[in-house]
Amino acid sequence: MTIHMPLLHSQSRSADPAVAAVADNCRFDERAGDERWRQYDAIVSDVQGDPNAVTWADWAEAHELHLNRHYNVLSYSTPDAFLPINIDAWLEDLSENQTLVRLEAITHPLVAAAMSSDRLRDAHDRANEGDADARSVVAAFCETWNQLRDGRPMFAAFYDEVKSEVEDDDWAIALRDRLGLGHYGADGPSEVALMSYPTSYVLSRRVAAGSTACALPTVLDNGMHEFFFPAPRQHPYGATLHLVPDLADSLTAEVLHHRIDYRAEHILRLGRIDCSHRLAGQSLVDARDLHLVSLQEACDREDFGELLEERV
Amino acid sequence: MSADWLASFRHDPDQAIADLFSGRAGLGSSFRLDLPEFLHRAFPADLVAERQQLDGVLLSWLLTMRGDQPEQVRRLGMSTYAKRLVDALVALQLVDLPNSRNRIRSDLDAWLRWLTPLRLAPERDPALECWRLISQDQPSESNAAAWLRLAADPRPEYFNVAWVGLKLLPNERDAQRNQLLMAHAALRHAVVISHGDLGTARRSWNRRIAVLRGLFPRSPGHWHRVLDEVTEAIVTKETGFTRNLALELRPAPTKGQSRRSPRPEQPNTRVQFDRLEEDMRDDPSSDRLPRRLLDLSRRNLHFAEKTGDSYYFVRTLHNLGSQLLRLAKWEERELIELGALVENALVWEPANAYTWGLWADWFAVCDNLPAREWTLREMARLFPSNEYCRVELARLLMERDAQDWDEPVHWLRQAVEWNPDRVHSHVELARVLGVLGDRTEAIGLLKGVLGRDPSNEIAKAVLEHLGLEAPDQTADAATWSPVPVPCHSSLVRELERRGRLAGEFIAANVAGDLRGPTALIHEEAIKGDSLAGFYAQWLGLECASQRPPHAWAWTACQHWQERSADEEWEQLAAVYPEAATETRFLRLLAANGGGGGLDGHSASRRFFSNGTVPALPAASFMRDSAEQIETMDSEQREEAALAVLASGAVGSLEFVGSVGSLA
Repeated sequence: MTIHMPLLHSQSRSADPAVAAVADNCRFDERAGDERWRQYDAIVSDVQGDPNAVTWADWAEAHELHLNRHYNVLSYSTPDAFLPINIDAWLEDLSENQTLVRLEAITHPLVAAAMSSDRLRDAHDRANEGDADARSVVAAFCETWNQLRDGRPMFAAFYDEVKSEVEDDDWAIALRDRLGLGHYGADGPSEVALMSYPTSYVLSRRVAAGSTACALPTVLDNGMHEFFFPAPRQHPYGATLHLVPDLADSLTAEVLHHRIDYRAEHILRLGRIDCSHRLAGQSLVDARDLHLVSLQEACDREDFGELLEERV
Repeated sequence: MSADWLASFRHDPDQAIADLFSGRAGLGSSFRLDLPEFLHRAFPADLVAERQQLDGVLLSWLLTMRGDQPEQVRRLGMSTYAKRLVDALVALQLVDLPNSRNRIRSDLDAWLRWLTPLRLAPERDPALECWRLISQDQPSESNAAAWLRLAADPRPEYFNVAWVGLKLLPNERDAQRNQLLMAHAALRHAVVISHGDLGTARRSWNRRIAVLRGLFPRSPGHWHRVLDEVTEAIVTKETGFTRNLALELRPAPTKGQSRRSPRPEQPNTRVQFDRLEEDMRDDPSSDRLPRRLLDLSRRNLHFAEKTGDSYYFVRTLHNLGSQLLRLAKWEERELIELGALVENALVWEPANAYTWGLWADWFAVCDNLPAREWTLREMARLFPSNEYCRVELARLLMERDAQDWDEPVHWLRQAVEWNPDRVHSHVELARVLGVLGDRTEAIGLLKGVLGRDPSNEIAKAVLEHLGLEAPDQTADAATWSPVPVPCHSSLVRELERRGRLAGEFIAANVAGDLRGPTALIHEEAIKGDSLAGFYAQWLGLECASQRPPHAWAWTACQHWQERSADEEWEQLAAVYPEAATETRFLRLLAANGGGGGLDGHSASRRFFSNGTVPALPAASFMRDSAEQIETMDSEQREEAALAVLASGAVGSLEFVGSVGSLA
């Protein structure tokens, strides 16, 4: 636990539910161990030497530094999530015969490869029809993309759990909402790729000595935003916050795994998210509270967390 | 989502950008996007005024980061510092900000010099992002040479950026030009990564060509022509492994088709070259000769830009240019045009010592002897066994300072040692030694020359003059008719900087102690400059500890000094694949020729033979030295290591974006 609980407590009373939500994530998290928090606190004290004078902006600056040092690590390094410092949140019993999915924003790799989304989609379609040259184009796109990606942990969900969204006509939006990816589609369209790969591919990659391949998400794994919600320690996985308020009790399982290289066959679909979700203000409060109650019931932990409604 | 931040940007753009990079802008979903994508979303095309502001602010933020590097690295750590630079450069790509891009393009050499040593990984390589940035919206086809060079880097991410650069090259509606150049690039890359293995090279080529066909779906006949043209150009110009590979990859003629398809754009260079050379012999002072050379060279350059084949352009220019500079009378505007062509030739073939020599001569004709000296110093660094630059540099230094000839003698002795069969340096050294009173060694040198070449008139003349107080400068020294031409480009400033660094280094190193001033080396090494850092490391200066993460020679020098084990050299080669050849050479040298289970001769054939290594300035030096590695004494090995380290410490100047205009 951080030494800055008074700041978090005060921020959790903010009139802005998004700010309160971030503070709550830090307060509720039960998976990031004391050593990780000590590491975070040390960065906070580098930013602001007087612990009583730490502001929310200082906290945000520390978050950025922490991400760059321990989360957005180099492609050949291991982020904290999979190092012994996070051993309490390691996930070591993921079975091989499962399929994982991720929704990826691909604007950057498209620009880097000087390729339009239509062109990539066309090559992907032709590759699926058996055109070997088109498949090479998709593979080359993945090569460029892999070269742009650092070693940050990858959030993933299980295909079998989100199959209906994958098969939805509006699959990109349906998945965005179910996986709680609130930053996709806001302020303009997002080009996205639905990635799908077997857990065996993740587990077959060699990990650095003393580290692991999979872990449970914590607030210190880029969870300082309003669409993340930490799960109680009894919960088997992470649980995504659905962006449709009425469905916020759905608790879709999510895990973290180490970096993998994408291959052409991992691209299941290509699409675009061109509308924003509406989870803000009161609907955000409602959704987070519904999600919290659902977590409390699922884990039989009425003591876990605190409703927002009572505060903001 | 980013509305609040955008409001703060409108109020105080510099502060808003600083807050965004530092994270102080806020927490929450809005800031979950990576910074470049955040800016991409926040500045849609219709925010014209704000985008213009962002263009200026991002550039100024980058320049501030450059100026504050030591302090920023101390505060943030190298990884975060490099990440922020990469984020800014990627943001420029995503938001598409033309002013910053053009500013960086026009001064690319300086940007790359700063950014190249900061590489930590393929995704955190600010120099690579700089290249990617200038691949966008290229104003002309003149960058083709740079992309082809980049494609010959063994790192796949460099190849991919080079390919994008070639794909986006303006083509006057003829995409076949891009395809030709991209295929050419694929072949260069295949050669470099294959280490002489045809199977590896063929697989790499096939994979890339499949992508090319997928990007540009065309008929089989079209691809046959394109691939035939590329491989044929290599077959006729290259030797060794590269030629063998091109022969193997050359598509088989289809039914009813002759082996060769015509190359309609190929210049009739041989005939024009011969005619011009003949006319130069008949009437060397003709006013029209420079203009004819310039016109021919421009046509050849155009051909190179369309096909990737620079053979005619570079060779015609340096062969005839060198002669004409001495013989003909040049107008000022013709000299300016020649300078631009020379710079273009160095873009195409930066490891061509003859073109460098032409540039040095050009500065002499432009009455710019300081720039001539810097160019000769840079040549001496890049080309360890080049005789011409050492002799010319020695002459220039002696003319400048009639008292202190330690350095000229150093250059001449080095030229003699590394060119035992050449005449020029032997005669010059004999001439100098004669003046210095060392008649015995001088006579020995001249007798050696006359033993190999009894008809050498210059050697005879020097022998006659031995004992005179001043050397006979007229025997074979070049003579110029200076036409003052202003040369103030940023590249000349960089030449000067490198020249001054080299001057300090040589003075300190030749003296054998640190009596000479090393202020510039010190100052630049602290800023993280790769070349200065290497010099500092070699000399054992304290500032050498400020090493950036990706400075090959600086690191390799430390390995050399610490007598690193074989595995450490291997590790070094893995971290610096672009300098694998030089690392392998040093490893051999460190092991006294016995490294990697190969003797020097086998190693020379396997690793340093023609056609399997990229066109490195030190390639021939490494090849020749590897042959004799077993017979080298420790002092010679030390000198060879210094030469290869210096040559690889920093690349040739990057002329892209700042080459002289040919308009």
